[in-house]
Amino acid sequence: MIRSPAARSPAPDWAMVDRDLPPAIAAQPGLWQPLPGWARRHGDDAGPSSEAAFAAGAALLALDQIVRAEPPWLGALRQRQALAAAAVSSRLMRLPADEAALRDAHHLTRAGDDPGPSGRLHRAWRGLAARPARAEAAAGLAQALGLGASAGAELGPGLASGGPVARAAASAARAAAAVGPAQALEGEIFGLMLADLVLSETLGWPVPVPLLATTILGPALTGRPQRPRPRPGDPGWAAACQAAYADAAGLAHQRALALARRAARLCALAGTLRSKGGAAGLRALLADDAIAARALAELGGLGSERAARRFLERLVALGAARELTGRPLFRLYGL
Amino acid sequence: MAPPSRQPWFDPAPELPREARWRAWMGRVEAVIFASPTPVPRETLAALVGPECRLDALIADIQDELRARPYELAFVAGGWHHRTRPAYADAIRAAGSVSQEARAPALTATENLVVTAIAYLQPVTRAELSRLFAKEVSRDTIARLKRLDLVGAGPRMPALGAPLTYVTTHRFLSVFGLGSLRDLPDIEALEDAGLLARGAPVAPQPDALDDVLGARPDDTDP
Repeated sequence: MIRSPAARSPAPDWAMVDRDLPPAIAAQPGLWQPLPGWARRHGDDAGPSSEAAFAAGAALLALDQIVRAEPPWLGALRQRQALAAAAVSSRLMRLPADEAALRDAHHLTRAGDDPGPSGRLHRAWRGLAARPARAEAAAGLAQALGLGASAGAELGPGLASGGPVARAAASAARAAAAVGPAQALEGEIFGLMLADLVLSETLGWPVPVPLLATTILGPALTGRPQRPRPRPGDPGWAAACQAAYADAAGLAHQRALALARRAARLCALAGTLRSKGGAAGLRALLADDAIAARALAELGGLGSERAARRFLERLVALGAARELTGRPLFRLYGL
Repeated sequence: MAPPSRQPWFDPAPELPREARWRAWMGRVEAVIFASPTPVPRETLAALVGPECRLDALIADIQDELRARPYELAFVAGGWHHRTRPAYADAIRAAGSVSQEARAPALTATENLVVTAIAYLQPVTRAELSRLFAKEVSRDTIARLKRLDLVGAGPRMPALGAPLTYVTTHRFLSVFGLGSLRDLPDIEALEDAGLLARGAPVAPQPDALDDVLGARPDDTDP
């Protein structure tokens, strides 16, 4: 068994790291337990809707407790979910981009340049995961997908009834239907985004966590060859959404626990680092999926790009952060 | 010009019979598209006719009416636009009545080939393009495509020297009469052949791509 670093060393000296990071949460990876087996959805089918609804409720509750506690690494969770959602939507649009390519496109596009078709999708998802969960955000998302700002104008959670997942599913179907057949795929992705937006607003989360898109095309729902993928507005759409949310919230919870463990390790080591501006570097690592040395240097605090890279390499050498690309140049670092 | 109405959309006399109302909507939508120099997005049209009107059926009716005309209502670059049919391209070119700015830019064979390859493989660097054509793609070719606003700068490649990649622009879709990048001819066949995958060996099998490039329909004049 791996002992958590927090148990080995005394509690990290938070005054040295940052006063803004709540120490109790980041330093206690045992605060949240993994989902019990009974809360998982079984079988490779959408299954009976009562079972899916039960699993979705249980998994969303577990995730809700994490989101409400607002641990400092919540930004990393949101952006990892956004990346996964962007990879799925790229596949839906038949754009040849995996998560690594999307990450590269985001970090290597200079200001004012075009990140390319899949990069624009990724940008839209990152926008969803970074802006407050309010109905007004829908117009911005529609514009980011090239649908025109007014597509999301009249869509709000107030228009649907039922539980949070049912409302999210209904909003997705309505949003996709508001887009013409010429842009059906963009409309479908817009629907997936809006479902997460409406779910977050209903649950009272300040900023959405992308969920539905990460699993709606998963093998559990579209595994069989003859089976068409669930589309917003289909007869089985609400049931598919329930199953997808059960899977997605469960996976996001699992990812959150892994991030909590790594964040605790990073914060425990933070006390031993004496880099100037290290607190800003830690905060940046905890707030995003990945960060490049150049971007970290531009944030200020750590000095030059070289100093930022040395700081990040030091964290990697100590096992507190990971290098995500595996290449010698243009390295990206994250939890 | 009509005074700005308080209503966000226009309901041409709700007391009119259904048929007349539908005709009024059709006229209004087609007039807006006709008057616009750029493609009109669906949302602009939806705001124009209001939520009661089934816009897709309306556009299908307009297209049906234009079936005998030498122009059509086409979905290009994310919006609806009047376009002359490809069969009349020669006549329009011979007459020379379209001004230089309004005309689709005249591209050489190489430029056509390069911009098409960028569209399929984007984001792609100049070195990758040169490898694909087994011949240097000159900076001048790319510079001219950039000046015509058909391609733009994309993300940098994570390789030595951080070479710039190129992506196609909105204007590319408009000039080539494509609704979106998924409307590129035979894109699914090329994908299934694995020719568009990132890092795929594009150089050994250029024949399949050539077939597609040859099969590309002529540009339509706006």
